[in-house]
Amino acid sequence: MIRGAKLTIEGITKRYGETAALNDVHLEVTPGSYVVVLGPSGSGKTTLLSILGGFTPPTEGRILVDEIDVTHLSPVKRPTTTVFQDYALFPHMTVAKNVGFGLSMHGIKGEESSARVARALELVGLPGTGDRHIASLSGGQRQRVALARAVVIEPRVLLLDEPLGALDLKLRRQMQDELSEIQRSLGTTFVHVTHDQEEAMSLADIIVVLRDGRIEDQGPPDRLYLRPATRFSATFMGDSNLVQGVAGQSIGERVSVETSFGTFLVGGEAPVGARVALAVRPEHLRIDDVGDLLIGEGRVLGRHFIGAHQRCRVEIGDQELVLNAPAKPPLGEGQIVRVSVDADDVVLLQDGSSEAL
Amino acid sequence: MKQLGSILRFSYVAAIFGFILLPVLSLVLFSFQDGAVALPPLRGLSFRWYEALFADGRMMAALRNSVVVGLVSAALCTVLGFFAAYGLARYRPKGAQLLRGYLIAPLGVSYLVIGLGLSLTFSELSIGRSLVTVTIGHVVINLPLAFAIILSQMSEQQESYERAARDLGARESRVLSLITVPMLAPGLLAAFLLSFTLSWDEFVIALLLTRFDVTLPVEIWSALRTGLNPKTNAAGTIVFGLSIGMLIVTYAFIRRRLERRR
Repeated sequence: MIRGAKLTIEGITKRYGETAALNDVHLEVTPGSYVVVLGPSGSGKTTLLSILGGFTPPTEGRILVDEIDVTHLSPVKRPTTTVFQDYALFPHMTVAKNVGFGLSMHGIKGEESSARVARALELVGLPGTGDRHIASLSGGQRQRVALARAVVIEPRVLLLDEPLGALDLKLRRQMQDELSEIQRSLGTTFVHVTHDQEEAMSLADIIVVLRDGRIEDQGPPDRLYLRPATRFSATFMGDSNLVQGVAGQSIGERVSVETSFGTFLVGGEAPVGARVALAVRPEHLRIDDVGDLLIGEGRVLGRHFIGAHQRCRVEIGDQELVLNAPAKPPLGEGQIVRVSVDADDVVLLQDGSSEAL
Repeated sequence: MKQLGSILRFSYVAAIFGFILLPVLSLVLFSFQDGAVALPPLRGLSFRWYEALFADGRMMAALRNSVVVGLVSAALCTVLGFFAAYGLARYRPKGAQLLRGYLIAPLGVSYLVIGLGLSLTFSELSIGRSLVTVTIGHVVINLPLAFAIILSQMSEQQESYERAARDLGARESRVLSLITVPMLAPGLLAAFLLSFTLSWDEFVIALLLTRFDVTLPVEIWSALRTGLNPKTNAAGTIVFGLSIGMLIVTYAFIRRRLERRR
C-alpha cells in the first residue's frame, strides 16, 4: 500500500541553555522498519520525536527523509505524522471527521475521502464507528482512532509518542500485537518512543537505547538482550547480574577476566589491566556444574515461584546473584547449590567503572 | 439561637433583594399603568404605553441605535479579545504578565473618567461625537472583560489539538477556523453576549460621546427630564428585560460548558 521512507538522523543536538537534551545523535533507519527508541524519562526520547515531527528545531544536525533534508520544514509540510501521547483527538468532531481531517487538509474530499476513512477505521479494528463522538470512546478505542487519523494520510514516517502509555497492561499487550501487524501491512517506517522495555522488544525491528541524550546502544532486540554493549543497556533491558573484573591476557577471540569468583575465559576484547564487568542474565545461570564456567558454590537466600521457573537469590562469596532455576525440584532457603554458566552466555562489558547502578 | 441566626440571615438577604429589585419591579409594573401618571395606585393594566413607545420615532431610532452599537461593539470586543488572548496564550511574548494586566486595567477605571478621556481625545483629534465614538467607547470598557473571559477558556489541551491539526497538514488559518474557534465557541459567545448586554444599558459614556443620534438609555434620560411618564417606564422595562434575557442566555451557555467539562 504505502512504502516507508528511509530516515536519517545526522548529528542531532538539542541544547536548552547549558543542558543538552540530545547530544550528537546519529541514526539511520531502513525503509519500512519499526524502530523503537527506548529510554528512561529524561533520556531525550520525546525531544528526539518532537524534532523528527518538526515541532522542536534542533540546535545542530539534520533530519533527512529519503535523502531529502526536512530539518527546516514545518510540521504542516513534513511527510511525518505523529500519534500523540494524549491522542489529541478533536473533541468537537466525530470519529470520521477526526480521521478525515488530514485528508481534507490535503484537498482530498468526497467519496475518496470517505472510502479512505472507512479503510483506515477497518485497519485499526473499528469499522462502522465513524458517527461516534470522541467522548463516547474508551481509552483503547481513542488510541485506535488516533492511529487511524495518522495513517490515513499515508505519511512516509509515522511517529508514535508513548502511544500505549495510557492503556492498562492487558490492553497494552493486545495493542502491541496489533500495532506490529498494522505496521507490517502498511510498510510505513515507524518510530516509536517508549520507556517500556518489554513493549520495545515485542515491537521493534531495531531498538535504540537512549540515555542522557546519547545513543547507548542500537540493534535488533535479540542482539541487544543477549549481547548488550553497555552496562546501562544490560540492566535497563531486563535483569542482569553484573560481576566486576580486571581483564588479563587475550587468547584468540577470548579474554581472561579475573573476578572474585575466579578467572574466566570469555568472548570479547579488552586491553590488559582494564576494569571490566561481566553481565549474565538470570536465565543463563545454571544450578548444576554442567556449564563451561563454574562460578562456585552458594547458598539460596530467597526464592519466588514464578510459574515457568523459580527466581532465586543466591549468595556466592560476598556477592548476590539472581538466577532463574527450573520450576522443579523446589529449592529451599539456605540450600547449598553449585552455580555454573556457559561461556557464550557471559557478556564482557568494557565500561566496568565503579559507577553505581 | 440558631433560629434567630437564620431569621437574621433571611431578612438580610430579603432586604438586599428588596432594595435592588423593588424599584425595578415598580418600574415594570407601572409601565403597564392604565393612566396618564406613573404613580400609585395602580389603575389596571394596559399596553397603551408600549403602543405609544413603539409609535415614538425618536425612541425607536434610539432603540435601533442601541442595538447597532451593542452588536458592533460586542463583535469588535470578541474579535479583539480573542486575538489578544490567543497571542498571549500561544506565543507567550516577553512581558506577557504585564501585557495582560495592561489589557485588563480599564476594568478598574470609572466609566466617567474613561468617557471624559475619550471625549477630550476625540475633540483634540477633531472627531465629532457620533454613534461611532460611542461604539469605540464601549469597546474600550468591554474589551477587558471579553479578553479575560476568552483567556480563561484557553488551555494547554487546546494547544495540543492545534499541534495535531498542524501535523495533519492544516495551515494556520485552517487551525484557527477549524480547531481553535470552534473549541472556544462557548467562551466567545459568552464574551459577545456579555459585551452586548453591558453596552446595551450603558449610560455615562453614551451620554458623553453622542450628540444627535443617541442610544436608548440617553433617550430615556432626556425623556425623564421632562417629567415622569409611563412611556419611559415602558422603555426602561424593555432595556431591563433584554439585559436580563441576555444574562440568562449567557449563564446557560457557561453552565452547559462547565457541565460538559465534568
